[in-house]
Amino acid sequence: MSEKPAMGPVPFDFFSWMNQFARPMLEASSGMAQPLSAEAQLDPLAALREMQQRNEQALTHFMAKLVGTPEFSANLGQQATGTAIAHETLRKSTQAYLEAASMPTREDITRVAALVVGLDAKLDDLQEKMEEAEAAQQHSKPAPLLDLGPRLDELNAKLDRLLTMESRLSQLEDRLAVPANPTPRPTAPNAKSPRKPSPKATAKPTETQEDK
Amino acid sequence: MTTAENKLPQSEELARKYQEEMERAVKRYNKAFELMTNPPEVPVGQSPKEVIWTRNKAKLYHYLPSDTAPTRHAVPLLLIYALINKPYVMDLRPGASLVEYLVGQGFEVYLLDWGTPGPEDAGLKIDDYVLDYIPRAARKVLRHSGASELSVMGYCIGAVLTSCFVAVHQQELPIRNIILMAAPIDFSECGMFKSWLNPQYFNVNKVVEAYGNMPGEFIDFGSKLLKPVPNFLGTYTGAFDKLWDDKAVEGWLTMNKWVNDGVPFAGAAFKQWIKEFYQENRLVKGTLKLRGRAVKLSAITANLLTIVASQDHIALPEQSKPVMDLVGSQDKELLILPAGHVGLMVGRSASKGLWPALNTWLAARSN
Repeated sequence: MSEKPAMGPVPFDFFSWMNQFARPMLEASSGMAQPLSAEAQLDPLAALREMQQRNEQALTHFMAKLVGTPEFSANLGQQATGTAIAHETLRKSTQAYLEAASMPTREDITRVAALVVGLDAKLDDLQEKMEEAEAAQQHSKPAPLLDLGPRLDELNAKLDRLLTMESRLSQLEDRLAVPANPTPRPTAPNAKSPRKPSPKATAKPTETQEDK
Repeated sequence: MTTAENKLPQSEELARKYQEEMERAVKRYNKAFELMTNPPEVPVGQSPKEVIWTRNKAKLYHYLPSDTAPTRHAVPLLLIYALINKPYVMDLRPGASLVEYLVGQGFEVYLLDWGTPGPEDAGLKIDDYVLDYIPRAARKVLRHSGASELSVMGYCIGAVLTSCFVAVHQQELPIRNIILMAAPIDFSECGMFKSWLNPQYFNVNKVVEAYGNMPGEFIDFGSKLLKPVPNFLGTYTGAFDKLWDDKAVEGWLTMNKWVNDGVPFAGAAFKQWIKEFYQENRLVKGTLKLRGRAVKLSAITANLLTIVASQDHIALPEQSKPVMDLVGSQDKELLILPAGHVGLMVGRSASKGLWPALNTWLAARSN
């Protein structure tokens, strides 16, 4: 027989595989055969503790060698896959049983739960948009509030100017109130646009005032 | 001095030791009986906190600031935990809590807890974590704290997610500091896992197809198998030895609770983790793409602190160190501490090693 028995993807030969652990096992056992410390020779409890520590150290050393081999990795992988297949088989048969009994399966419940999760995500997105809008609003409000002082001053100044003009206008009206047939206002010959009165046209009220 | 005089103190010493050992043995057996018949519920994650955001199973916690903190740092810190086990290891118990320490130092601490994925989350991918969950949490932290910048710190797989997140969002989000703790970035040399997860031996598609999500026990078994004797035997013999000491028992119980409190790994994300990271080492090669977006570590320009545990057997130091040469950060520091994967973050050595070092580095970059 030239072919070795195969176990998984790595050719597996138990005895040659175990052979590599012979040295660590020997090292471990030789460590345990060392004489006990002076304290442990006098104290049985210390001796027990020391022996336990040596055992643990030897086992740690041996196990570290064992789990580091490719054969161990191959076995571990096989175990994982095997357990997964068993789990899947059980899951599928349970599902088939529940479906046959017209009962909701794990998949059905998961589907509903996934919908709830999706809804939760949408709500969270909406919430963030609202938070952003709120934050933007909060950021935009303080600016006009801060500017309100100077704007009020400006408004006050405008009102003052208006009041002054209004008082002047009333004074003017008082002065103009007497004549019943006021003389027609001569129009400027070159006045074309009402927006841009000519110097003569602007001078007319002054003339009127002078007439008075 | 005669021989008899030499022997007398030894006998007295021995007698005293026997008496002490007998007392401890009685306490040990009493305690062992008590623990077996009435296992106590050990409280974990006790630092005061509030939930400020949730999405699916994920929760974002904000730890309430401490009144006794000497100062308050302006830049908040977002902790991103791994996808396996639960994040309360960062806040294990009073006195043994990284979160408690950081809050006490005046940091505004936030923690992203992924929760426990259900069967409906089997389709969750690393893309979803990096492109949806973490950026959303980061924006929430910025909004909640009112800060203009933030720091992010990831642990183990969380550190890989963090590095991917920063690499993709460095230009979009104001990320000032990035801390990678026990981060397996480079998978060209990853110890036993390299052999165990070799596609020749491990059929990840078949396993994920069967389970949907990878059971926490499966992942826990793999991690424990890296050091089988200390994990399956040593932890219990060591604990039995300390059973007479109530304080040591309390510490062991909380840690043991965390070790055995695994959560499933979302199926699609697990498949990606094994194939694209362990088997193809795409992050370091620069070939990783998440929803079509290239993840280039060179895009990271935030201040970087890489924390490596020299005795880490899960994320080997050789896996964490290469990130230093791959990022574009000007301010970068490598901190190597004599600890294991978990001992780096909790335990006596952490309170003297990692915590103060982390505080010094981060405080200088958080104002």
